[in-house]
Amino acid sequence: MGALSGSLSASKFYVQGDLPKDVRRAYMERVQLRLFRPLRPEQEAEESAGWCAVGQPFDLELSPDKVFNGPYLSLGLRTDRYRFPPAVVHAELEQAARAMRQKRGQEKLSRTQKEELKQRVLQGLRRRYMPRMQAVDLVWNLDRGELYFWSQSAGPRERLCAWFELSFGLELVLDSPYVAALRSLDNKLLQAALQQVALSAFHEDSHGSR
Amino acid sequence: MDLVDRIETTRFLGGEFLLWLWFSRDVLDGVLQLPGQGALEVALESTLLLIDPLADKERVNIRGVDPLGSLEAEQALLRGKLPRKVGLRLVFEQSEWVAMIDAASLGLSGVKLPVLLSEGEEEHFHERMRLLEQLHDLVQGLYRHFLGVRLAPRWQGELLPAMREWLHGEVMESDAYEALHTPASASKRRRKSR
Repeated sequence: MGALSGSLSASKFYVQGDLPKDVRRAYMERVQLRLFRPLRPEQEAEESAGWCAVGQPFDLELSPDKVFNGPYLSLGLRTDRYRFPPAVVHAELEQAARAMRQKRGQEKLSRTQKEELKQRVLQGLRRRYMPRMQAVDLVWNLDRGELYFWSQSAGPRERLCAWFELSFGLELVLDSPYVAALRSLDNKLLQAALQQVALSAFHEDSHGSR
Repeated sequence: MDLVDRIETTRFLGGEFLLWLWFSRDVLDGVLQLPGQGALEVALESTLLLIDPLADKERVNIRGVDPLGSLEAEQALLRGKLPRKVGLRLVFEQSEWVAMIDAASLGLSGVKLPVLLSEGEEEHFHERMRLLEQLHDLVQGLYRHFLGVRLAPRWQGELLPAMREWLHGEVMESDAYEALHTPASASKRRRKSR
């Protein structure tokens, strides 16, 4: 389920800060700088994150017509990550260590040898396993300064905030009762009351309940 | 207190908002007047999660045709629990939305939009986003209406006691409800003009 079809479960954020003058040109450049780059087994990185086309995690050829649609800027935030079962990593390491000890006639391996072995084993696993992919859509209404992100989990939301700030230099604030109240109230007395508000006891009364 | 602390320590406002919505729906037979927007039909249904705002592990989860009318819900409210999640159905200008609202974040999940009429990928996307934003605007409008009474000086002395009475089964007339939701300055002006 995402921005383009299906039922909608999105987190709402408010975007803090001013937009640049030439939004389309400036933001296309910024998006291109932080485009998703696939993981490669020969590299040590176990995780990669970046922008892709909305609803199309494999589409990395972004152009203004794919990103901008009326007042909306739409993207996908794709994250690929290698996740190996710990039991497999352990078994592979044991096997490789045994082979190295036999080959070199050593009873024990040094710390450096163990680290080299681990890197070699992980590289082998990266060649055999596909990384796990997650892509989450976002739609940012540039006129309203509001952004919808199609995940309600803390991890992807935190990743979005960090990646968004790096990409656009703007801060995201997640909606909440307090944030929504700050944005709703234009009456100074109510704004002052909001700073003092405390939980009401609905269940205490003259009927004798606690 | 910094912003993060204030956000965390005022999450109860979401639960109080849902309880006020429940109260308003009961008194007004499900049709609320949103200031500046018009009539909005509000139904609360299918799922209800109640949590004690002072003890997060104290939870009551009720599903069914009318979870809000159940004895468990009534008992939970009388023990100080507040709604945390509830199924919400809104009808505004012949359009209907269904969603689950989370009081702690005011987040909406499982949103079902009104039937989309546009054809073509781009128009379809625009209409979908416009309807999603409209739903958030309606919820925001309800929340703003709630804050107008919740943060006013009359809350403690008038509306809170009225809601306590309602929790104990007292029936409130819609005129009395309207009087409690009219800003005090407007009530005074009205009385003077009579």
